[in-house]
Amino acid sequence: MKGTNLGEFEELALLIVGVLADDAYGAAVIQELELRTGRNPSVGAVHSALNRLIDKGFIKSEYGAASEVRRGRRKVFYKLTPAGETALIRTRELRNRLFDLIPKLSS
Amino acid sequence: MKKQNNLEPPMWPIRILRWFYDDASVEGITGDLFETYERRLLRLTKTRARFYYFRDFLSMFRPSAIKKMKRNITPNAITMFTNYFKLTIRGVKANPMISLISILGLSISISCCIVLFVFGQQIVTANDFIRDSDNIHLIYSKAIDINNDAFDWGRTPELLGPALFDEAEGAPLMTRYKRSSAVTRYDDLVIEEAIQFVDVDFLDIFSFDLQSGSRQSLKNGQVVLSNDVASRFFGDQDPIGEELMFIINNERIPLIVGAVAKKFPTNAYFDFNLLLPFSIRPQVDDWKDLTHATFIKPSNTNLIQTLMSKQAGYIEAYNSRDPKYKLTSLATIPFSLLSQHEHKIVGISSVVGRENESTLIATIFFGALLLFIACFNYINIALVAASKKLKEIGLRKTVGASRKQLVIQFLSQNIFLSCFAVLSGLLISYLILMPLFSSFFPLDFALDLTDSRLWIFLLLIAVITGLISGGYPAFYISSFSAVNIFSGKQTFGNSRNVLFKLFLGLQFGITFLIIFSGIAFYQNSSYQKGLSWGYDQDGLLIIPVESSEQFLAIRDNLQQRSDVTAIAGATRHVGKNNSAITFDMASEKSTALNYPVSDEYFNTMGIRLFHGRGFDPNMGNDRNSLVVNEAFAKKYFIQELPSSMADENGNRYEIIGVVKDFHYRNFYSPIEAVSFSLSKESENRFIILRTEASNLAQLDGDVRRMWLRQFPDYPYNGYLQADVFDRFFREMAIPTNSLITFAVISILLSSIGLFGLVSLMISKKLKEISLRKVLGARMTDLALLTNKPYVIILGVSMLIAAPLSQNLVEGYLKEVNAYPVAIDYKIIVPSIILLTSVILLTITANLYKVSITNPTETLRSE
Repeated sequence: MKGTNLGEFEELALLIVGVLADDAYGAAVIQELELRTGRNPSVGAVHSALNRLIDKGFIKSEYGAASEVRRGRRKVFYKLTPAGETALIRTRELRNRLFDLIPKLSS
Repeated sequence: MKKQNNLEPPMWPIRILRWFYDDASVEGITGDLFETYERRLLRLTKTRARFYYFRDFLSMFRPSAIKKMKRNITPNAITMFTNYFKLTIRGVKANPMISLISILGLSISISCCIVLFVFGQQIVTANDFIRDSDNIHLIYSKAIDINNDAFDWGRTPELLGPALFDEAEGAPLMTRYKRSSAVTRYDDLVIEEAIQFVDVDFLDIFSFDLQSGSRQSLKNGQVVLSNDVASRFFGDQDPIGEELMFIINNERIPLIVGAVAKKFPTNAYFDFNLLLPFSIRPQVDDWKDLTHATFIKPSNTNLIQTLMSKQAGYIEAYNSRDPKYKLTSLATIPFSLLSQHEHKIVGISSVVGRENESTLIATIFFGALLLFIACFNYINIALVAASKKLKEIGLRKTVGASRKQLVIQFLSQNIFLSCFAVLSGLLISYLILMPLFSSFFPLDFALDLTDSRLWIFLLLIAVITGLISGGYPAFYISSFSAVNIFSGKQTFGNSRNVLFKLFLGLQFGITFLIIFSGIAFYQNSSYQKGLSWGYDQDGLLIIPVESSEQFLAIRDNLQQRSDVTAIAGATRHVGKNNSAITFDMASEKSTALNYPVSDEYFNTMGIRLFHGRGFDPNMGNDRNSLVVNEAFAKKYFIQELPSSMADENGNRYEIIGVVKDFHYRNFYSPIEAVSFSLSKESENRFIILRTEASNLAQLDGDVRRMWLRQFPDYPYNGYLQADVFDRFFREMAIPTNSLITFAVISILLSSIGLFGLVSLMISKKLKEISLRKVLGARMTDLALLTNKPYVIILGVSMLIAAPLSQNLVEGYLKEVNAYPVAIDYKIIVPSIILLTSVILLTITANLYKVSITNPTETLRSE
């Protein structure tokens, strides 16, 4: 397995999966990303990020219900794994520590 | 949420995704795609939402996503493909005749494509054996002609090259290329050879491979021979160090052979015969003298600009000599462009030749046509054959085969088959077609099996024909629903199918076009062979001579012979060479061909005078008289004889006679204005003899012996006037022979394709036919019944193809030839009869099988 480091976009995706909790599936993640970050990610980008997160063991997927708007396709729900939660906490701690070390930061 | 139909996202991207991703991930992905699209539709315009939809679709192919894609090549898939392969072989075995027909048809057309590929490659790679050709530059002239129109000219002053070379820094390489001819002698062998004068850098600029000898030969003042010349003079003997004797400007010059070039590659359109260093010629000191080409190879490209900036002085030096065409400037063009692209530099094609681009296009055109005929055959047969497999397809679908699997199976089987076809096509082209086409062309083509491009081409052909011929049946058949198949609703492949009719019609149409062109070209060449040349070319022996002494000696000797009925002399001779007179007309200058001939010329040649008179040596002022042809009279509005015209130098000519138009060059170009003037006897270089046609061989032999006795140093070049158009006829024979071959092949392809098709049809309808027979139908009725749909398709396709082919072929022949055969019923009727009878015969041959089987046999089974 290649490293468990989080890329920037991966971290965002992981966070959103956490935010959406029980309602985290592809299209919802995309919508949430658009809403929260103002980005306009493509389906391919989000899916490949989510797949990488699965590979790293941070999230797991399961099938959910279909809907008309999805033309009868089932949703694939993503859920944070304990490893994913640890990874989120670790990156946050690392961020905070580094942030505090900056001598003077205006504002 | 009901959306209007036009707001629906297109479905084909989803289908494509399904090809690459497994079903599980495709479900999540496409669901997200749709949902995101719907959401965007609420906020954005339809166009923008669609744009994002496509962007999202394309984003699924990002490199990181591809890693997640389905792996097609699993051990399972390999087993699958080997099984498909096995199935293909079994299919071939189970149905040997139909399979043989499909494969044979494909391989014949592929073998044609291979030949055309080799031919096309020849053109595309012209002169590529010369390395670094981007860096070799031709210096050419921008000149103005007699009417002050600008044109590009390949010739440059002979003094230009050395002058530039002397001034240049950075040691560029320079060579001039001047064609000439010289009587060449080794021991007893005397031949007039074409020679090329070049500068010492020639072999350093052009990377011709040497077979033996030294690249420094030219620098040492030695000659370089082409492979042909070496074997002509020395046979198997080693020519290096041997001495050849040249007669150049009546001067004997012995030279040592320094090197022999390897046989030129077949794509060489720039070569040489005998290279002689310029240094053995007396140095010219007149700027007016021109050379056929000047090449430089500079060490860096800036040098060219520097050199070109110094041109003004040289142009001035040339123009001050009052030449016919004044120069305005000099320019350069890389050698690589010269040999491969269209350019308008006059006179350079005789140095660096180039195949016509239209030849290339025609080649590709016919290759594609033949391949399509074979593919149509294949599609038709595959469609009908698949109708036998309908139940199998239905069953497979019922037990859960996806459409994709069926398509892959059909396609892979087709590609396997076309691989067979490619291999046997290679064999056919190697054994039959290549030697055949090589005999048509003056070049010898060879199939180079080590050429990687050939193998890439073959692979491409295999895949493309596999996809084209298999694609339609594969997608079409796999689309049937299992329910329809089992309930018997699914019918196809019979003559009611529109697409099937279209394919068959197209195939007939294309075959018709090829047959039509073949017949038209054949008729054209026999028509032109029968055309009158405007004089009596049979029974004429022409003896070119080198000098006035030779002329007088041979002529005086021949005048005593009783079998020579007429004898004439000429400085320039019809069919061989000519000079020109430029007349000063009121508005512009105009050039007409001119042949200086003796007074006996018209009589000897059989050129008919129909106005005025011929030359009379007893009338002193006939020196300035002209006898002209009808075209001349028409062009310059000569109303009465004698009338007077002036040339550009102010010399006045008296026109004393008009002769009938005659063909002086070939049938490519129309007859233009031609004039004859009275030659000076001392300048005559041709002796024209007329004798009975039956005596020609005898006379030729006698003159040859006399010549060898009197002038052993010079070759005897006598020839028959009737042979002067031979080159033209040989050239015209190339497309004719090729087209006839293509026509035969396309008839063959169409008929074997149709044979397979009809035999499949009949086997399907065997019960029906048997029942009819039992109930008393006669064979003629049955023949009518089975032939009818094909005859209708054939009729319609010929109605469309006939006028189309007529226009196409007529247009082409008129473009190339000034005197083409008329495209009329003599060509259309045979083409129609040929195609129709072949097709009817093919169908009837199938029926014969039916007629001899006992109907009870077929009805009893099952």
